[in-house]
Formats: sequence, C-alpha cells, structure tokens
Amino acid sequence: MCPEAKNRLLFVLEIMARLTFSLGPPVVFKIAVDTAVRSLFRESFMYTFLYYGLTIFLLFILLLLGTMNRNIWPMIYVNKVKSVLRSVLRDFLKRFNSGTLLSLVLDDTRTSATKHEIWMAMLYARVLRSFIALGVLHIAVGAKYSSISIVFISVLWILSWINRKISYKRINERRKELEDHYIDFLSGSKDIAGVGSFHSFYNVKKKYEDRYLKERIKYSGSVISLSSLSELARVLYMVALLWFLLQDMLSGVLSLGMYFFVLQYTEHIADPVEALPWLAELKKQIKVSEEKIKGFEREMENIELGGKEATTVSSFKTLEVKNVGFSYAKKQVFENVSLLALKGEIVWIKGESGVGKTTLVKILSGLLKPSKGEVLLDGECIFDMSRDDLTKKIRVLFQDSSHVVGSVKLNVDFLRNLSKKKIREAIEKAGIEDVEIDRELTDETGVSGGQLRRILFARTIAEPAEIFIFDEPFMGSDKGSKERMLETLSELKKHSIVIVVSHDEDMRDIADRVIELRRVEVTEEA
Amino acid sequence: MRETLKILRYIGLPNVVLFMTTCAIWIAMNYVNVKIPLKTKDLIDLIILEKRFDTNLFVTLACMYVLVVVAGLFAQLIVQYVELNAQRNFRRSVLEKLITGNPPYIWRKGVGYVKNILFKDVETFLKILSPRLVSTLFSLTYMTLAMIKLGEIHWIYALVLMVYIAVIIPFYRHWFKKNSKGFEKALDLRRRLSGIFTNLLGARTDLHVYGKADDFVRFYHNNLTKFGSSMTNAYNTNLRLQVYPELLQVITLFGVTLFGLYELVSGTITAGTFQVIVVYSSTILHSSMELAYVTDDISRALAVKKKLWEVLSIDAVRGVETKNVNTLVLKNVCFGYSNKKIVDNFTLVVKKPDIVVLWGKSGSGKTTILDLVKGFYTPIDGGIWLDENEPKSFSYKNVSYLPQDPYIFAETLYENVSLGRELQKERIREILKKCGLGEFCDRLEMKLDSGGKNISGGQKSRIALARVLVDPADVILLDEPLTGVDVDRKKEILKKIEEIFADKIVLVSTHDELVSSIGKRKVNI
Repeated sequence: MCPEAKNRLLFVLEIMARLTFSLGPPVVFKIAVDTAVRSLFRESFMYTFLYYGLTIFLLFILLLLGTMNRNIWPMIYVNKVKSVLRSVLRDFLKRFNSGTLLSLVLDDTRTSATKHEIWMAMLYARVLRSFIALGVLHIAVGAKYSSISIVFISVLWILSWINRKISYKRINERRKELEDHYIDFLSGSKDIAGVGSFHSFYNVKKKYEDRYLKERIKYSGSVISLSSLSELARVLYMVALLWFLLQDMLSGVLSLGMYFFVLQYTEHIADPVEALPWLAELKKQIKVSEEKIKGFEREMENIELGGKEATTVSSFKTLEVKNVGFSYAKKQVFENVSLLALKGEIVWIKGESGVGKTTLVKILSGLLKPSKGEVLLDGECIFDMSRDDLTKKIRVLFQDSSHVVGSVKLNVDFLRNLSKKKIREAIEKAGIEDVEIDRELTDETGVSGGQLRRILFARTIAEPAEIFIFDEPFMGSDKGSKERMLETLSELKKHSIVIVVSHDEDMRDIADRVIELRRVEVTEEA
Repeated sequence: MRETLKILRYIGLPNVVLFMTTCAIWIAMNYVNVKIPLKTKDLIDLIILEKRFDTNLFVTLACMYVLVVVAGLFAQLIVQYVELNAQRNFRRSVLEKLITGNPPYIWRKGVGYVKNILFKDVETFLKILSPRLVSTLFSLTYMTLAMIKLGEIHWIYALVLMVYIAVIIPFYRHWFKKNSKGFEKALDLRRRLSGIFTNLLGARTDLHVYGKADDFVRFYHNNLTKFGSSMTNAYNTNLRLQVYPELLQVITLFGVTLFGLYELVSGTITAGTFQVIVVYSSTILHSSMELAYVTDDISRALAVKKKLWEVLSIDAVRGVETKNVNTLVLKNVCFGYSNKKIVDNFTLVVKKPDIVVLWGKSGSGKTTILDLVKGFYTPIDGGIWLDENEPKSFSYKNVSYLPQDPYIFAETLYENVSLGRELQKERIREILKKCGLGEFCDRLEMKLDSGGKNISGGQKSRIALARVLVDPADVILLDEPLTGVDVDRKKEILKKIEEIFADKIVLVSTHDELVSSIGKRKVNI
C-alpha cells in the first residue's frame, strides 16, 4: 500500500478512536454519579471502574494508531521534497534566487506535508465530535440546549470563515524576501568583514526585517482578536448553558449526573473554538505553500529543454555563428556577431568586460536563444537539437559554474561513472595534484578559488566531446597551472573545436583564431 | 537551564519587561479562574439544598468568565509581539557575532547551514515564549491554588495530586532530555540538507548542461531518507511521551473521583463540593497534561540550544581602532590543519609606505596569510603585529580587505560600494572613475542582482575594489584584485590607484604579472 493511502486509512481509524474516546465514557460517568446520589455505593464503584477501564483501553488504541501514523508523514515529506527539488532544478538560467527556491523545497514542502500529520486527525475529530455531541444533547436533554449550541457553532463558523479571508500570502512573500536578503548577507560576509562595516550594512538590510515584522504583527493582531471573539462566544455559551442547567435542576428535570453529562458533552461542542482558528491558519499556510509549489512547477514545465528525441549525430566539423544579436530587457547586449570555428582550432574570444562574452557563451551552449541570427553545427541549428545530444557533444565551463557538496572525485566525475584512469588523467591535465582527491567540499568549498576553478576545469575535460567552451578558465590560477591548462587546451583541439573566452594575453600563443568583441561592432582578426 | 537563560538575554530589555507583564496577567487570570468553581458550588448547593436560585451570584460568575477571556487576549497579543521582536534581535545578534567575531564559521559550515540557524533554530528556540507554552507553564499557579482549596476539603485529594505531580515532573525532565537528543540529530541533518540544497540550486546550470539534475537528487537521497527516519524517531518518542502521562492522569483521576463519590454517598460533602473536586482535579491534571502536549516544542527548543549557544558565545567585541599604523610584522607565522600545514614559518616586515606582492602557486597559502593578517584566523605559532597590537586587539577597521571572489549584494550600486557607510555621492563617483567604472557614475541608484547576475565578472571585481578604496584603512589587503578585467583597463586603473596607495601598507596576492608590477617588493611563497 502506498504511504498516502495507508496514511489515509490510519487517519480515519484514528478519528474513530478519538470519537469513541471522548463521547463514550461521559455516559458511564453520568450513571456512576446518579447511583452515588442514590447512595448505591457498590454500583457506583462498578461504573466508575468501567469508565476508567474504557478510557485506558481507548488510550492504548490511540497510542498504537498515532505512532503508526507518525511513522508515515516524514517519508511523505521526503518524497515531496524530491519531486519539488527536481522541478526547481530546471531553472538553469537562474531567474529565481536560490534562497527563494530553497524555502520552496524545504519549508513549503514541509507545510504541505503537514496535513498528513497526526494532529490534523485530531482536528477533524474535534469538529466531528462537536456535531455528534450536538445530536446526542438534542435527544437526551432537549431542544433548548441544542438550539443555543447551534447558535454558538454558527458564530464559530462565521468567525472562522472571516479568519480564512485574512490572507497569509503577504507574510509568506515578505518572509521569502527576508530570507533572500539574509542569504545575500551571509554570502557577502567576507566583503562586509573586509571593510568592517557590519553595523552600518545591517541598517541597510534592516528595512526587510521591519517589513516582515509589520506584516506579521498586522496578521497576528487580527487573527488573535478573531480567536478571542470565538473564545468570548464560548464563554457566553457556557453562561447560557449554566443558566439553563441550574434552572432545570431547580425544577427537578435534571439530575446531578445529567449535569455532569451535559457539561462534558458541551465541552466537546466548544472544542472547535480552539481547533477552528488553528485549522484555518494551517489550511491557509498549506494553501499558500501548495499554490507556490504548483506555480513554480508550472513555470518550470514551460522551460524549453529541447524536448526532441535524441538522434545519433555524426561528428561535427564546424560551428558557425551567423549574425547573432541579443537584447535583454530592451537593452542591446550585442549585435551582429559572426564566427566560424573548425575542428582542430582554438578560437579565442576576448573583449572588455561587460560586452556580453558570458551571454555569448550561454548562447553557444544552447541555454539562451539569441534574439537574432542563428548558431549552426555543421549547418544544423543547435536549438533544433535535443538536450541529450548537446550534452553529449558540448562541454562548457561557465564563469559561474559551481561545485557540488561532496569529494573532489565526485566533482570531477559528476556522477558520470568515469573510470578511475580518466579521472586521474583529468586531474593531472588540470594541474590539481596539490588537492587530495578525497577532500570533501562543503557548500562554501574550503579550497582556494584557483583550485576550485581547476577542479571544474577537470570536470569539463574528463570526457571527450566535440566542442569545448571555456569561460575564463584561468581565473585565480598561477603561472605553473596555467601553463598546464594551456597545454591541455592545445591537446584538446586535436579532436575537437575549442572556444575560450578569456582576458589572458597568454592565450595568444595557442589561439588559432581571435575574435574581439567590442561594444556594438565586432571585428575579426586572422 | 542556565544556558537557556543566558541565551534569553539576547531578546532585549524592553521585550523582557513586556514578557514579565504578560506573566503577571496570566497569574492574575489564574487567580480569578480558581474562584469560578467555588462560585458554581454555591449556586448548586443553594439549588439542591434550599431550592433557591441566586441571580447576583450568577451575574458575578458570568463576569469572571468574561474577565478571564479579555485578560487572555491581551496576554496573547503581547507575547506574540515579544516573540517576533525577539526573533529579530536574535537574528541580528547571531549575525553580528558571526561576521564580526568569526566569519570563517560561515565559510566552513556554508551559507545554507547558517541560514538555517538564523531562521529555523532561532524560531524553534523562541517557541518557548509562545503563548501556548507560557500559559501552560503558568497554569502552575492554578495548580497550586487549586491544590490548597482541595486540601481544605480533604487532605487526601491534595496528597494524591501531589504524588502525581512528584512522579510526573522527573518524568518530564528525563524525557525532555531524551527527546531533545533525537531532535538534535534530526535538526542537524536538516541544517546539512539546507547546505546541500543551497549548493545544488547554485549549481543548476551545470546540472542542466550535464543532464545530471535527477541523478544528483538521487545521489543525495540518502541524506534525505536519514533525515526522514530520524524525524520519525523523534516524533515517535514524542508521542509516547504524550500518552504515558495521560495514562497516569487517568489512574489518578480514578482515585480522586472514587473517593469523592464515597464521600458523596456517605453524606460528608455536598453535591456542589463534589462538583468542585471533579473540576479542580481534572483541571490540575489537564494543566500538567498540557506540558505533555508542548513537549514537542520544548524538546526542539532544547535541541537547538547547543547550536545557538555555540554561535552566541563567540566573542564579537573587537579591539579599538588605532590611527596611523606604521609597521606590519609577521614573525615565524605557522598555520594549518591537523594533517597539513598551509603556512609554515612565514616572516615579513612591512614599513609604511610599501606595497608587497605575494607571489606563488595557487593553494600555496597566499589567501591564508591575508586572512591571518585580517584576523579571521589565529596563527598556531608565531605572531602578527600592527605596530604593537596583535590582530585580536585591533579593530577590523584598521585593515581593509578585498576578498578573492567578491560578492555583489542585491542592493543599489551606491549601497554596494558604500556597504552602509555614510559616504558622499561625489566621493563614490570619484572612486568609481578611478576604478574604471566611469559609465556607472550617473547610475548610482541602479539595482544590482544578488551575486551580480546583471553585471559582468570584470565589473564585479572593480566594484569590490571601489569598496575598499572609498575609505581605505592604513593597511590594505588585496586578494587577486582585478580578475576578469581587460588588459588596457587594468593598466589604467593600476596607474590611478597607485596614488591612493602612496602612504599605505599594501599586501597584494596575485598571479597577474601586470598587477604585480605595482609592487615595490615581491615575496615568493
């Protein structure tokens, strides 16, 4: 049985157990009191014994069911996290901040898995037994009691309906915003400590705290006032009930046992006072989180991943860029870029910073569609190819390429099941013998910037491919390792097209073709 | 307990005062609450014994009910505010301790991990201020008062309930500890998961290009499952913890009710008094039971206590700012980890003004030397002095530092350069021009994306340089400055900033021949 279905079954069983637990014993208690008032001590003792025996028995059933139920929900959470993570990882152009996505994966999924938690069963049980108690009261003591109970319950429902209208969405948004800014803060901790300006910079970020706090207080204020209103309704209900009970006892209609019976039952009717706002709150949070998850999933599904069937493509010989232009948010990044790269050549793309070299790399690797022009591999447009084909044929080292948490070996292998020999070769070719292969990298690495860059370089070259694109491969590398990398690039060109984007003038020695990107226009040297 | 109180210091004095006010309200509320069953007793006894109904008594009773609700509303509102405000103070303190006291903690543990401490752990800990928890604890007042009243009826009731409380409190202590251990494990796994996911989300372009996203989710599956099962265990313990006291409660109630019934049958007490016994004893037990329902929150709060204390006990107070540093001395400095020495016996003396280039292979420890001078790490052996002061005794403001991979914040360009320092816009424009960012001079309000997604790598490193140069200290440390900047521009910038360096102590670590040309000395590492 799948966890969800099993959970649902346990959920129903638990509700039933809780109902019996709270609605059965008061009847026995009534008899115990009434027999005691008639001075029948032995009978009274027997009923009291029965009352508590029943309670203990039901308690054990609850323990059993509850424990089983709890065994399930963390696993439901884990499965959900996996599916949400998979969908958000499709945002390869990084349009969303990692902070926002992280909250989506860990927190929103948690909220949405929450409804499987055991106390949801308790909540439903409370609402249900409130209605059953109402029915029993009507039959046992009369319409007077049930009608004030109905008025009371209606007031509760109205209040909870109003509660549901107070949106939780804004808080959620403010919260995500705040978390994003804290991630920002933490990521730049070295820069802030570098100029010693924690206090002043905190003041810049403080506005997000204030906005979040304001929103939360506004929300809590209205929710607490509403729940207090229902608490007040409960008190008035209790007072009215007591009035009726005392009057009925005075006229001799009700016995003392019945007095306790009615009080115990009406407590169940008042139960939702506590449960309903809680339930409304939870439902709101769950709804906001689920909407968010669904929204993201929908958005991610629209991302074109080149869904075409993979075809076997023969070896490429040329990569041709024809009059490519790209504009972003109405701003022209570059225009009319053309280049031709042949197998056996190293193409060096240089240019001032800010002219769009990184964007060009993204276009060449098929991640970004140009606004104009086309990119052809042996005459076929790369945007018509499947991602699988491109993955096999093109290897890219981006400027913002990142490692993954795990060993250096994992980072070079990248779950491709490469042979040990290949990994060793790649490491040697990238000149990172100074880093132990088993060294574990955390999410903030723990190796120097240059070393990390070379680990990523090793990942790129670990497998043969038709086209290699490198964006600033020598960032942070010293002379020795740079020479080793240049050598590797010259080796690579024997079987592939190699494109290198770099400021480094040492590229001059090995480049076969130099493209210089300038603002607006582009020139090509032989 | 002492640690919990120590941590609670960080919620701030106004919050403490407000919190105390709520506690007072709660105690007063419980006092009124205890009176309610006694009033009901009088009403019932009048009806059963004298067949009379007292309207005045009834109205007083109704007013008491309403009073309790209104007081509860105020107490709840205040506590909610205190909790939220405390969260904010707490986050600030944790962040301050980390950034001004021990930034390497963040780099070692990772951003995702620390963010989890800042949000989840802080919130989990402050749950102990939540209305539900506090009001539960303050029902202790009710329990004591009600017990006295019960003792007045017959000593046996008070005794039975006291025995119950004597058994239940050590039980809670024991289980809180045990339960929090389970949560500790689960929450630590969660922090680590948060680190892994932040990293995966940062690497999503690579995952996509290699077509490995799904494989990596599967690869980290183990961590997730481990987290899931440790969470299951923690909750299971928690549930048992909730049910056993309930069992004990039922047995205790059985004893009390039975004796009450016996007294009622034998005519020692009236029906009204029997009602008082039932109400008091079940409320006392219910209050103590509420402790069981909040075990979840308490155990989790205890579980994160250690982690919070680990961060909050970092000494954030730095030494005073000293003006006019003339010499920087590094003598026989050693630094490294258990299995590997990164810096071995490094000695360097720099007198103002001087520019020293640290030259060497990557991984040779250049960055570490700069980190040591900045005071991020303490050398294992040897010493560092600024004039006569050691790094721990001089202010961070004495040394300006440009990290190897600078970070761009999701703020305006102005904020990114000033980092909150109050600077004239003219001054910033001047520096931007010197750093070859002339084109940004009239766009100081331009919003930058986090990590500098909307600017190029070269622009990023120039903005970072500008940060250091607007208000430079006497000692300037530059770790691989101007990476990704084209040659012509680099030459221009270097020429311009040389005049800023004219009267400073500057240490530059670089592989770049061009950048190293500004050095008056070159030190090979």
